[in-house]
Amino acid sequence: MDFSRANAPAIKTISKVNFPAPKTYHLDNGIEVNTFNLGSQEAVQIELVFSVSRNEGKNPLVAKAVNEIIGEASSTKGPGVLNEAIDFHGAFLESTYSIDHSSVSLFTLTKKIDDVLPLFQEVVLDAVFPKREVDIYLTNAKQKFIVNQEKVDTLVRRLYSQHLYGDHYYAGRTELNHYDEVSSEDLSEFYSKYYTASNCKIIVSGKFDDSLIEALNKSIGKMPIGIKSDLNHPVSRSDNGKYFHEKKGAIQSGIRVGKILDVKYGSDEYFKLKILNTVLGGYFGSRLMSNIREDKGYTYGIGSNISFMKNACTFNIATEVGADVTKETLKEIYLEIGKLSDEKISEDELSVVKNYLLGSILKASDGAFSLAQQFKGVSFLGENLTFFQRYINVIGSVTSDELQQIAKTYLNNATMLEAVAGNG
Amino acid sequence: MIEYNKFQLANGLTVIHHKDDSTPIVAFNILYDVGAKDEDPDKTGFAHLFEHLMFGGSSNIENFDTPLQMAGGQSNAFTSNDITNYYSTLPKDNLETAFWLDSDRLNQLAFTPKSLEVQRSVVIEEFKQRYLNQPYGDVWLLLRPLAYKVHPYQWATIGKEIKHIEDATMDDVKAFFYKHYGPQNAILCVAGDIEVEEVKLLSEKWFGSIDTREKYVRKLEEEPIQNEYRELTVERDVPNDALYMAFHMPERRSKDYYVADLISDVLSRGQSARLYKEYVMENPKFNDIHAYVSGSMEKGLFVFSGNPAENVSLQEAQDLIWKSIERITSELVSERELEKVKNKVESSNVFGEMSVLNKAMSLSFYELLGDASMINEEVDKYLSITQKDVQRVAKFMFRKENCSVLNYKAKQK
Repeated sequence: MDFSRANAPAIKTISKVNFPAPKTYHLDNGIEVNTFNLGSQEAVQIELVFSVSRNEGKNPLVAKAVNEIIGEASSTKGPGVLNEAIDFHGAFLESTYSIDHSSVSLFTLTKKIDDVLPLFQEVVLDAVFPKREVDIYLTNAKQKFIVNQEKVDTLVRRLYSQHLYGDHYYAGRTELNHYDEVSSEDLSEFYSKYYTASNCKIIVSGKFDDSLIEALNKSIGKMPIGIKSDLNHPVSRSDNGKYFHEKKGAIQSGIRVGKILDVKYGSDEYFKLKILNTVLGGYFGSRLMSNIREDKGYTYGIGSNISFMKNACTFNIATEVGADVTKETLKEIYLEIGKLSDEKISEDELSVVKNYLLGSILKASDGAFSLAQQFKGVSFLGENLTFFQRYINVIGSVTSDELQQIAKTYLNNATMLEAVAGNG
Repeated sequence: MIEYNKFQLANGLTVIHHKDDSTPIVAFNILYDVGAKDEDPDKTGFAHLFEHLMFGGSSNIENFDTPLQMAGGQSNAFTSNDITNYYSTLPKDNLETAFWLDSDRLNQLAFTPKSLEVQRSVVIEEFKQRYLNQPYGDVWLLLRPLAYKVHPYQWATIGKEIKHIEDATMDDVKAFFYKHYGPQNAILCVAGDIEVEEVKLLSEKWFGSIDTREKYVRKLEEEPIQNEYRELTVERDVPNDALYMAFHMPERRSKDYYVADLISDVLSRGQSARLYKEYVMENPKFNDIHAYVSGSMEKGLFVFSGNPAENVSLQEAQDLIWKSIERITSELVSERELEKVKNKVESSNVFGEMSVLNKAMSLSFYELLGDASMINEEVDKYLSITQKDVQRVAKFMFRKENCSVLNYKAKQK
């Protein structure tokens, strides 16, 4: 046969990815609605994203509890009634919660929209937080919290963010006593102030009829304006200490290494940092994985990321390793960070990373739901989908010299914070 | 309705093609008919360890992932008690790279000692991370041997113990490869914006020259019908008690499998399901409670799991679950409840078909189960279930002598 297994098939490099722009509408109360109407499956996601600072609640638990309990009851429907009605139509709600926003999504078959939209309206516009149900939630959430405190992954995450953010509310850890100090009134108050039009954006994705926009206007368009949550609290802080949390008997240690980065979202430098991070720990073939997992076998997995929030950009390495190789792992982590500044990345390695990244961007553009999630991420930070074409351009043009310079500027070992949880 | 083409190469490789022109990504999924159930009882965890070695290089390719990443692709795999499934997604223009990579490792794995040595350590760390260094992590390591006395479902995919992984030798690896990894034992599915002619051409080119290997005929001893109530109590250093109750259930191909699955939905799907509604919200006796089916190909388990609330003993928790069982066996489920769970099945089927990779995985799995066409019959199988079916299968499964209970007690501090 006319081929040889020794030769790789030719490959094509991606130079452009199509990110269709959303159609944008405004409801009567000013809420911006962005829609991605494409695909062949008769299904829809309607996501309400609330920009809410968890700092606004009495303690860090409030924002989370509101997000998780919403849908349980309304002023006219008792506990569980709305959930049952939504379930009955085969639809479901999904609440997600992050440091800067809370979101509530409805997933439904397109043909059921007329049945479930009024229920969804009630979930988000008319939520109540009955004392009995709130207490049950708090009791159960507290138990989960206690169980999680047994995991080195939880312990190290808490230790790390406590030192990374200091007294900023991003460090705002939930503590055991918070579960006893939150009341149903606290939740109601938070909900009525901040689950409002002035904090809300809507993203609709899937396959639907344009009349859905008018239906949204008649329902969600009635949401009161409310108080705008103040999200602007820049983090400016740097702690390069080494911290340890003892967990007796742990057979693995949780490790975090990282820092706060001073970089502008969507800038060339930011994109270059993303590329550099991919080299270090952002994909299966990364240096951390190759060295610490695939060469040394110290861990099941290790990775690094660059995370951009409203008030801070962070660089983080995370892993769980055998207790006996904790020190060796840390040594290798610092070795790999150091190499980024000390040595130029080879052309071969850089081209693998570039192609891998282009492939992941292509994958991110695949389908209405994925587009909506990408849009949500960038638009929350003031960008639009042209962000990705600019990213692609930087991937195309960036050189090893430029990346080495970025490493020297941002990823100096002496500036890293280290946290470890395990058996001391 | 998912349309597909299916053909077989002379060496026995089954190939399925599904065209989806809405995506720039192509999914390449290859399922091998081998899982933890095919392991020697003294060398468990091997199918999964082997899955790791499949990424450690083949005779012409030093490392599986690098060329795939160079082509803009990503790959991963999973092992279950029944199957080992490898999947890649990549830009459709670069599909041939996946053919090249996966055919080379099926043709001849590299068997490098370094890869075995390192992956043994990686899998041992996985064992620790997921099963030993987590509260309640060892539940399935305890529950499986309680429920299965004969059938190899008695051990988890990770293996019975770390020692089995430490002891794996290169001879074991080679023997396993030639026994289970042949074209006759594999199902390939390619899904994306690609024509069937091209898939035929590429399959023939890259896989056609691989020789058929000796067909392994599986002869597993069937698990005898359980006729005794089993109960195991362990104490662990965890914050709260937990309860697990497992019942043997119908096998995957039978009609009653679907009924059992729907029973788990009635009891536990969504917040309006019975267990959550009754025992978490209305009469809070559990912090958390679930019912689910193990989904295995041969007779699997229907499991109740829950964390009793403070001041609720494990005995009381067991009684409450029996009370819920009593209700589903003595009264017909309501029409509305049944319609609700059927609607859920219908919608989750639509959501599941949104990803080209999901479709490729499902087509491969149904082909193994009997025929890829089953992918289009699933929903109807659920829709045809009656209130009486629910009661009948519940009565059949939920008998005390078919039950294995694990009382997972928190050590008193």
